[in-house]
Amino acid sequence: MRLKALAGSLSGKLSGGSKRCLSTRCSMGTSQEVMPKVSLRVQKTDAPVIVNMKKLMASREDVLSLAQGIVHWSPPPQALQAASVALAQDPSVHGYGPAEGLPMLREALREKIAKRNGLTQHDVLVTAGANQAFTNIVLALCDETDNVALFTPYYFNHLMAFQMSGSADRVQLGPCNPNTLHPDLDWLEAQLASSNKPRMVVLVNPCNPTGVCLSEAEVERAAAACAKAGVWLVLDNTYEDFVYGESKHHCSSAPNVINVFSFSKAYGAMGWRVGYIAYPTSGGPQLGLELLKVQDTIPICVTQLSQRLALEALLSGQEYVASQIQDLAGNKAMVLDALSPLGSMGNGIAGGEGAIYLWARLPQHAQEDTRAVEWLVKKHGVCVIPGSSCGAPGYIRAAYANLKPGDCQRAAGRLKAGLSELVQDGNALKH
Amino acid sequence: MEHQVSRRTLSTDNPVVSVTQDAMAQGTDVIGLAQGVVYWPPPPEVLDAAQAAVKDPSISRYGPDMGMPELRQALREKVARDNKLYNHNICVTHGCQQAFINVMLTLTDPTDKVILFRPCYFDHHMSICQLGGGREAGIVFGPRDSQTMHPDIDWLRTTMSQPDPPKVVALVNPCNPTGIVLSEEELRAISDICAGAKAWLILDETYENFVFSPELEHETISAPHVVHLFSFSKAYGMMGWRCGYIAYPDFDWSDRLGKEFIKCQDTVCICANQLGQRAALKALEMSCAQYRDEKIATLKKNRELLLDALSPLGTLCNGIYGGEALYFFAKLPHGCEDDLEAMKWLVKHAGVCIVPGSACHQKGYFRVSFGNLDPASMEKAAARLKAGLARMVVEGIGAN
Repeated sequence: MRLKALAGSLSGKLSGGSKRCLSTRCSMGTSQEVMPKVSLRVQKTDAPVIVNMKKLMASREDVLSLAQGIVHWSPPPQALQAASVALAQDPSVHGYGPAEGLPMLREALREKIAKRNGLTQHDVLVTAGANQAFTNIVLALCDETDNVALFTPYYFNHLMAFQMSGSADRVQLGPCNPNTLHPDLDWLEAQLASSNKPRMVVLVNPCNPTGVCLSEAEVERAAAACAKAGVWLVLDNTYEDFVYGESKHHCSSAPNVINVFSFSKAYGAMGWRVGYIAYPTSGGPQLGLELLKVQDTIPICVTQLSQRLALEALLSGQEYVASQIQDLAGNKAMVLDALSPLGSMGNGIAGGEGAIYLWARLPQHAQEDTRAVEWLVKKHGVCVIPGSSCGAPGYIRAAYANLKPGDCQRAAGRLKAGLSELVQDGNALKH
Repeated sequence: MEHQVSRRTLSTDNPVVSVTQDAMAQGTDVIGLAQGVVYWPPPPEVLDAAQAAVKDPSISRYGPDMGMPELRQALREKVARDNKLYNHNICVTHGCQQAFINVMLTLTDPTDKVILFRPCYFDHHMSICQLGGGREAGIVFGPRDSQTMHPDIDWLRTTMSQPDPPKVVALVNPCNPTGIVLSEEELRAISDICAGAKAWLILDETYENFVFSPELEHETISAPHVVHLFSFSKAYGMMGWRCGYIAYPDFDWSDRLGKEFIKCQDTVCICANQLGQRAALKALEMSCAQYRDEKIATLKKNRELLLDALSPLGTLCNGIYGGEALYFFAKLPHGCEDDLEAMKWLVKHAGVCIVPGSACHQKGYFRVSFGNLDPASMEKAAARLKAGLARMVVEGIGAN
């Protein structure tokens, strides 16, 4: 809507009242006729769900979002201060830095992954967010002719990365246990033993979108099964700090495992774009060199100031992070209660072990999840994301870190009212 | 180990910066003339605006995928006003390189053929290979005129009129690495040839502000099959801020291309960093244009110094080429065609580092940049280069 208004104002500035370019330089014809085709791989790539959710939310006033996977807090104040100081005093922030990342940040990350994640024979590549890390890995480790595996429900950007790079027809989707939503590792082992095994398997732990947390045994079983088949396992640990109750986060340090991390959620640094890859060095230098090639072709290097922020956040921000995450318990309880018309934990609702998501099954008579999400926005002013975008129609994902407690309570209230109505009225979506 | 790296990454060249940095590490007190950067920081107003924004909570949140709305609007206005690209829409990216990746993912499949003119911009070559398009003659090298280093348009016309022609032609204008600038006639001819073959033309216009010869001008073409890439890095000294953009035709405002670009954008970076975008918005103001142009003007001295430094090898259009963008491209003396060895020789014997032509797939040549040092420092670098080249012409580089 806004775009059309802008178009109107811009075309109004051209003389003659025509929207077309008046320069003699234009090769005209209608744009449909002379615009060549876009690639097959992009055509096979899903549209980004969060973008669609934002459009949906813009269609009416006062919508509260439990959709995008963001946190409501900003980076630790001392990290922002460090960025501010670097901006004022360090002229090197304006130049390219090393492609692999600021040396001090990499050093601090190597210490972190060793101490915290048990990754001692690993090196670090700093990326512009975890999505860029994953793109790097896909380009460096598999070809468009390779099979790859995700578990459904999957993190949508992982599927998109495979589609976009040409592997759309090669994605094998593994199931999760319908009650626990933990990935079916029996399926994985069978798949890896088959003749068309995948070359790369991806797990998100703690899980986006389901909010489950895998045990050490599960992670190591997946890693071992992949290793036996000579296959890469990619572990996306974006939510490693977000574990609750008895859950513990575990990374595998096996030489066939690539670990991805992010600064976005824990440190509230989404807009700064910093993530990292921890990759094994035990197999020699080649892996690092190949990852570096991709780095040089995509971001060249990560924003210098962002790396200064990340360094300080890492060095001094742990208490801040822990405190923010602890305070999420209230939000989680509210959203869990909001979902209660749909069931209970383990029976229609999953998650709560980790990450910032709860995952719930829609009523039998209201399985069209995209329609249900639209209806919740339009009628109840609250937004969640449809399970279809994660490969699981009939479900919704509700995020609970987006809003400060006051707003979360309002959002939860709306969600509960909406879901109650949805459950009780078999024709709700038909209205 | 069965689980290995991909064929597409193996087919990709090593980053040039790795090659030149390794070379420089072999010497002591080596001055680099390799990196395509500028020596100045961003305009003071940009730094002030960034400082004011650092602690703004919105800076720490994701922004819209295609870019901060105010920045996109300012860029729509900029490309219309400065580049005569009316009715073009904008995608703000993590630098111009990420823009190129977005565009290649959106417009090509690995089996498509892409034309690059040799010597080519190494990152474009790497990107195509990285995305799977480098194998099986996926990159079609077009020749340049040996006197002028301009792309051979007759060759292009013939190639594009064959059955199953290449899908994309990618050009850098002003050119990295050759430092030449295309005329409006050339651009129109290239564009028309591409249109006739239903091919895309990608114009990387990173160096649009870096035209030094008074008789030359940066021009561009507006057409439904032409996609433009721009950068804030060089003009505004903002390399470390990572901000570039795609300007793409959207004549009917249906945003056909944008709907595809956004898929890649969401997957690769979600959005460009917010602080960089805030800084870029400020950079588009008039006062910053003045600053930019003043700084670029200081490079005239650097150009003169380097052209003189290269004089043992010839003259402009005869052994030495370009001089626009940030680059001269030069032919190594007879017997010194091993440009990798020549690079090492210059490090060792002259204390300067250049980019070997092989990195641009043109053996026997090399590229020097004149942007990375202020004029006072460039004097020293140029003197070393001149002495080194003079010696090289006489002695050779000792390699067989």
